Amino acid sequence: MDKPKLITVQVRRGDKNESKLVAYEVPVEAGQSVLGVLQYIYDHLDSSIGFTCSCRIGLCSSCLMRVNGKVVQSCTTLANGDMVIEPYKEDALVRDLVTELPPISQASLNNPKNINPFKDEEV
Amino acid sequence: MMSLLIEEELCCDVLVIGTEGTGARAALEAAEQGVDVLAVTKGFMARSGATLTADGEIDVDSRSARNLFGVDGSPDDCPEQFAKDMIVEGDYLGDQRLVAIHTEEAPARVKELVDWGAQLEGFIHAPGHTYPRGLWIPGLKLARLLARRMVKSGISVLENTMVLELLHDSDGVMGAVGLHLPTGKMLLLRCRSLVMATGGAMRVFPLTTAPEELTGDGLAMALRCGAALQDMEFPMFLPYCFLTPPSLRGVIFSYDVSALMEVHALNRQGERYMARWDPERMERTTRDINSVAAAMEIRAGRCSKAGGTYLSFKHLPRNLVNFSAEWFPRNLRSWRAAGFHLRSFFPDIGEEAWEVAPACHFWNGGIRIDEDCATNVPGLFAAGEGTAGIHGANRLAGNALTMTQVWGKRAGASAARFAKDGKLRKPPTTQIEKVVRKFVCLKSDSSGPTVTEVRLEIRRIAGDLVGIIREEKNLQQALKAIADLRRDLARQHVVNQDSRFNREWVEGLQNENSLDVLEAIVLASIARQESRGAMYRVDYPATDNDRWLCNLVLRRKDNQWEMQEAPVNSLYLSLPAGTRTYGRRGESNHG
Ligand SMILES: Cc1cc2nc3c(=O)[nH]c(=O)nc-3n(C[C@H](O)[C@H](O)[C@H](O)COP(=O)(O)OP(=O)(O)OC[C@H]3O[C@@H](n4cnc5c(N)ncnc54)[C@H](O)[C@@H]3O)c2cc1C
Ligand code: FES
Repeated sequence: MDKPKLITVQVRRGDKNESKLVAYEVPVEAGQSVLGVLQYIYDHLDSSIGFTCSCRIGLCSSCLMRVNGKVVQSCTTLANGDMVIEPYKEDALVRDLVTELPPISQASLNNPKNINPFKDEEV
Repeated sequence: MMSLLIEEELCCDVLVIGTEGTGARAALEAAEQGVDVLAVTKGFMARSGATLTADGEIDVDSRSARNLFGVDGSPDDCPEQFAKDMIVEGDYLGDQRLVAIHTEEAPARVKELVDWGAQLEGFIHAPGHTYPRGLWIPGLKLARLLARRMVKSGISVLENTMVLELLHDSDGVMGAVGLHLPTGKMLLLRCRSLVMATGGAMRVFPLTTAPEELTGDGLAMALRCGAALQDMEFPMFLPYCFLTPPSLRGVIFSYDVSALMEVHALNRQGERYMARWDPERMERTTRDINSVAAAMEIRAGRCSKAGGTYLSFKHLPRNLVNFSAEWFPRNLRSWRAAGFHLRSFFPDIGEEAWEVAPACHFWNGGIRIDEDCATNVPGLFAAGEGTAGIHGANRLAGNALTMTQVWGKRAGASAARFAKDGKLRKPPTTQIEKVVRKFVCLKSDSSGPTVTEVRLEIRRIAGDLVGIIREEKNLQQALKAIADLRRDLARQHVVNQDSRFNREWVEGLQNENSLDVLEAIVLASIARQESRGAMYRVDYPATDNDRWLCNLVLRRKDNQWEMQEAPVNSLYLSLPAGTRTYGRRGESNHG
């Protein structure tokens, strides 16, 4: 197998109020994905990093990010060299690369009864 | 008081955990029956779980496919023949009562999907099926269709909420505790009945086709609440998953490439090793046998450069290979594997063999249910992937999506019926506190290994000591390693305490579930001293019908496992006798 090469990955960390680019040195093999790089950072360098993903095969869109300025699915985008990773939707930012997570009250959108405990029926 | 840590309380008649193929179908049916439904998912609806990743094959018997949808199916097929194939290819461990219901109700369920707007995009004949049965609805389209329908039906959906534990007493289930991931809040979810539709546990293994969420949570929660698990020794593997490059690891090029064209599975010497396992069907045998054979080549050191086997279609004319990308019913036109363009990795398709290996793909076993999807815990219903009895020791291609619809609907109906008579009861504070304490402990005690170390160790045990090819010596080592890890669970080290989508918390909580599931696999595998379906024991290589035609049922009481051998339900097809060589199904070579 070819030797992994070391790349510099800058990840925008923080939330709406305050954020900064944090740099990591990551060894990557040819054909590694951006999501694979984040997993490496989480597993080996800094487990506080926030990102979401599910399918890892380019179908679900939970791993959308801005990589070098372009919005992509990070699981099918290859990590070819140094890069900057940022959240793709600044206005819905929760933390680091995590965006637009729905609030609990969403459960009430369809049925207000779910929020009101049926106290009278308790035993 | 600890339960003060519960920050919100939600109530419903039927709580459905999981919102994809199965959960969505269950929720729709329960709502149809007029009860209040709350559906919860760890990820986003239609953006997590296995359903959306499915290529799209969905089975019904060939004759019904022909009659209902006008495809080129065989009039000679029927639900009974489909059931027979399922029983035989499931190596006779399927519950025949459930199998018969499955094939009988499949046509109506798929018809419903079409009536709701699903387009059938193809019809194929996958290995293991006597007749072509594979209708085609891409998983992503199916998941979105069901999600839209849920929203339209007024069903409440709570996304990004990981359910941690069920609450129950001897009268049954009363609800669950969940963690709302965006805020880190603990939620109390109260219900009259509950449907577990949380899918499989494939993420326990290091190489898998399955998405992030599938860590066996539902199986473990059901087990801890007193439900029985069955057929846990049969996690299913898919033989031809990419090993390289790293971004493609575990990705499949069509879940069953041999339905597309005649492929050759080769070892490093260029030998078509399937000749030693199923000389008649070769690579067109079922996926369990293909996976066992590949794993045995790898084990014997006849592996590819990256440690797998080779998948080749170099023997086929180039124009035939190119044409196949046009007629096969999925998005292969430009040689795509899910969202990947294969040409960017393999510019000349067909020229080079691909390096592939078996990856964990599906959960044949799981929660033990009856025909109403009831478990042995009152009010707890379960359906879909992660329930046992439908597929026996091996699942036929295209039959999981069918399962989500047939059994999702049944579970929804049963849970609604139960809820109508059931009471909304107050869950015992002690149980809530226990869950909360577990969570608080994860957040505070930090003397042990990191959650990542625990996760990687679970996968190491699953990959190196369990795998597909098993033997007593390794399984005993696995048991010991699991016992060691259990001691570390309560002391897992979490670096980050930010409550907004804390990945470490999720993984720390998942680790316990994965470990419970892994231990169940190991215990059942040690007990079953033969090779059958998705499991091969090198120390017991034959299929022994006289001794092992039974389902292994596991329960856990006071942290002690109990195992029982339950007779297989053989209502329709008599069970074979004698011992036979693994892989040559139907032949009985020693009597
Ligand atoms: C790559 C791939 C291709 C496939 N192709 C096919 C095919 O072509 N044909 C076929 O028949 N089958 C196929 N399958 C199998 C099939 O997709 C699945 O078996 C089926 O979709 C499972 O549906 P489900 O609803 O039971 O579970 P899933 O779709 O996996 O949904 C599980 C749900 O449970 C939720 N959940 C899990 N744990 C928790 C928790 N603790 N708290 C809250 N929610 C939780 C998840 O978020 C998710 O919503 C394929 C599988 C894969 C991985
Ligand atoms: S993780 Fe699903 S698209 Fe990337």
